[in-house]
Amino acid sequence: MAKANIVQALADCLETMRQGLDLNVALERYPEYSAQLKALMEVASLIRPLAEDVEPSPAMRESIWARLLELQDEPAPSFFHAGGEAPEAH
Amino acid sequence: MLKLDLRRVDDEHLLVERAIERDAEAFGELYDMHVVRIYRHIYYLVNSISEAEDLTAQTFLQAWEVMDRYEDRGVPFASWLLRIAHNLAISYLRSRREGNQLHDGLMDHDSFRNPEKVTERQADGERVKQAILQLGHEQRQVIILRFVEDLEYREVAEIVGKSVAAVRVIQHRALCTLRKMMKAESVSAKG
Repeated sequence: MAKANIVQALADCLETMRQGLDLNVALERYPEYSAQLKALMEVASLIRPLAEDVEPSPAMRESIWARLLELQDEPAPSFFHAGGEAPEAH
Repeated sequence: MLKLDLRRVDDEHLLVERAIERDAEAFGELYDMHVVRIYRHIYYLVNSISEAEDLTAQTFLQAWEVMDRYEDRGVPFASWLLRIAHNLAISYLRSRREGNQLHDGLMDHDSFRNPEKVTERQADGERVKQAILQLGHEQRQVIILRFVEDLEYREVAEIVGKSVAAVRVIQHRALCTLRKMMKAESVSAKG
């Protein structure tokens, strides 16, 4: 089997991390890249929590909805909900 | 759990079908399901709250206008929306010089931070966030889709219009760039 390059090795390790499996097992498969992979995985692990950091508030969601209604240039019947109310947040 | 997920997929499928038939209420529900993801994705591309709001609105407006072109061929509806968002954000970025509004973005991003989510990882998180915002569009896009949106390579490739192999290469380059930026920033902070 052809030796994996660092791009493939990284993709494999990231998929292992994504699935919540043991990262050490994945890293052991690529001893030649171990140090580089560890450093890159560390950066990747810092990125994932950012999803929670940027989240529009309910007010902002309504504001986007209002902007959407403003952008709508179609004549009546009115776009989406009558009165332009945002749908309820779930 | 699986049952719930399947129900969600099923519900979404029905909503999409209704929206294609110009059912505005169904489209409103789709908006509610996806607005957070679309907004977040755009925000990380344009680095401005006001532009992210505007472009998110434009994304849904455009989606509504071309709903009849959506075909369920195994590509999730979210990926279709993200592709529209991607195209709008890239057009926007091309229309202005990158960096002109960086200051605005850095100035106002704290206004929507949820204080309850501040943890001891805040400093590292902030550093990596600022580093991401300095990446080129292509690398930034792949990083956000892969790590923030948690999409599969196939989905990322579909959205950015590249092959899976190319996405993996971009991902590697982007992580190397981020590492270098963070290392440099760390050295400069110490010095």
